[in-house]
Amino acid sequence: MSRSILIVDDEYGLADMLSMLLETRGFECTVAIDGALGLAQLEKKRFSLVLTDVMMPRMDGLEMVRRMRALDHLADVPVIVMTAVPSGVSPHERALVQGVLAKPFGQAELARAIELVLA
Amino acid sequence: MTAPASQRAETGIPGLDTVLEGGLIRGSVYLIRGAPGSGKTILANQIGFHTAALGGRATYVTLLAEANDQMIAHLSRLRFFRPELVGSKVSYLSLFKILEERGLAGLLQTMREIGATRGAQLIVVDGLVAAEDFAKSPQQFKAFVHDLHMVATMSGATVLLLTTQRSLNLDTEQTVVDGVIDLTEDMYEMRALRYLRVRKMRGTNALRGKHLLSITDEGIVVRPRIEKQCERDQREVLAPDPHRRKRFGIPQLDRMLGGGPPELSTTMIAGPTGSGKTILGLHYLLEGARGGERGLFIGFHETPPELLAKSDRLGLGLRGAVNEGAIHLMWQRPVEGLLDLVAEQLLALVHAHHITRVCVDGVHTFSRTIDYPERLPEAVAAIKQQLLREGVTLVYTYETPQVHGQLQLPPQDLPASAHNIIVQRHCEVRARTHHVISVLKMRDSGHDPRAYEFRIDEGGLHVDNTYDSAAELLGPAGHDGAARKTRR
Repeated sequence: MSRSILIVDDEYGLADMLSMLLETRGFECTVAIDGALGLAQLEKKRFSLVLTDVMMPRMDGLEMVRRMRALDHLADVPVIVMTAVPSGVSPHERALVQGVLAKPFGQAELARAIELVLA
Repeated sequence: MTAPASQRAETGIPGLDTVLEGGLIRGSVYLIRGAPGSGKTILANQIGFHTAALGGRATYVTLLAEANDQMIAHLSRLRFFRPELVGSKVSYLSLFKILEERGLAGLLQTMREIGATRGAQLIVVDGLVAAEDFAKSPQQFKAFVHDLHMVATMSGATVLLLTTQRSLNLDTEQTVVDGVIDLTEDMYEMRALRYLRVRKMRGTNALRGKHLLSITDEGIVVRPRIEKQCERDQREVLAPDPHRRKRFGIPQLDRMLGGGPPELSTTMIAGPTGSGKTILGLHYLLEGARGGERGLFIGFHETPPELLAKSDRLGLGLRGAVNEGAIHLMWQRPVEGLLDLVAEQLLALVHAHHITRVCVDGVHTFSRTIDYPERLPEAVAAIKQQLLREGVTLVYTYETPQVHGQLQLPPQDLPASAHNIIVQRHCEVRARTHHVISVLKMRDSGHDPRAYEFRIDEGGLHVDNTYDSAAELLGPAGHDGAARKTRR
């Protein structure tokens, strides 16, 4: 079974690029443009990993994570947060996710972060 | 803060990596601007083939309506072009149709695909102006360049955007790219000179200002201005030591010089053509070789075989010293940008071979080949400082225009910057030419101010032990008055 990743980012170009890069590495990718739509995707399908931006309209990435952790069936889905301000993620929020990836990042850093979480 | 070497991608363009402190930064976007014919396409392709030669991949995207075939045919005449790499390592894509049919959004989608799937270390976008023409607003164009930045960052590829300077949104582009390089052409009198100038370069302490650029059969060659290169060296500049002398090995001349030029000083030998300046320079190096020092002779007119033949005729022993590796001979045909070219090679040789005596034969040649003559004093001073850092005692010759009559010194800045000046002159008496040598100046050191006659024959240059004959030749007028005087 192929591993699937949910990409949650309101910046379409970045989400599209991430999706293409990860597909070349054998992942199946789905894109959602905010936290609310991300949660909707998570209700439809079991993902191996969620890659989410922090600042997004409607529902931001950290709020999406808090809601995921409150739900039994999504509490254990690994999450990597992508942010230009890693210091803005509090220790409590860090405890809810498996990784924090500082933007901008290249494909090598992305691959390392995913490997660490999915190993 | 400058980016470390590990994050840099060599361009492979001679001189450019020096300007860029080692190369371009991976995952960054650079704007290369220049009028049609300024060399943008060659520059980008040359970097592409260098990337491929190192095992990487390059993708060249053109947004222009013209087919790539004509460009490739033109490039194939340049030596960096390797047809076996085209397709496998260097690929050419025309995205004009996509731009025309799907606009900027379609183009961006394709660029993301290229970044994600091709594994290219270099992506070139030629004809950025076409993308600008398709943008509905400056903001949309800015967003386009911003997204290309994201493609560069995520893929790790270096992205070069080639554009003409007619672009209306240069400010927009400049704010979102990591670097801007301009290729320009200036007219200096009758000469058209090409230049490369780095306008902006994040994470790089680039050599600022203009650097000469040539398009040769090898491709593009950049000659970084030597005075800017020398600024990067933070080593202490040593001062001349009057207690340690570097002799010429010509006893009377060394006496006139108070024992020889002080170590780490600079000596100018000025004189008209045929006055023996080159031979005096060779004496200087040969005397050093006899004492176990290594020397370097740089000339622009007499080739090494000609010099060796001259030395053989006079019995100077240059051939033996060259064969033993004690003296290096360097020759360079006078070409545009000579000073920067020679200085770079000279400094590399001095450093590599621990050379302590250098003779540059014909510094006046620099003033004829330099792009802007006003650069000469500053550039020569920078080279001298660099040689001092390397522990070199320098002698250079400068051809003055006068053969007979009063001798004219070179432009004021050069003599002022030399610690010592030796003058060699001709004077004609009763239809016979005589040679006279004198020490015009020695900074912080005593010297014999009188002129002496000298001759050049077996064994090289011989200076008379007394100044009587020179006094007669030069006469009471003090300069070439002998033309009116009869010798006893």
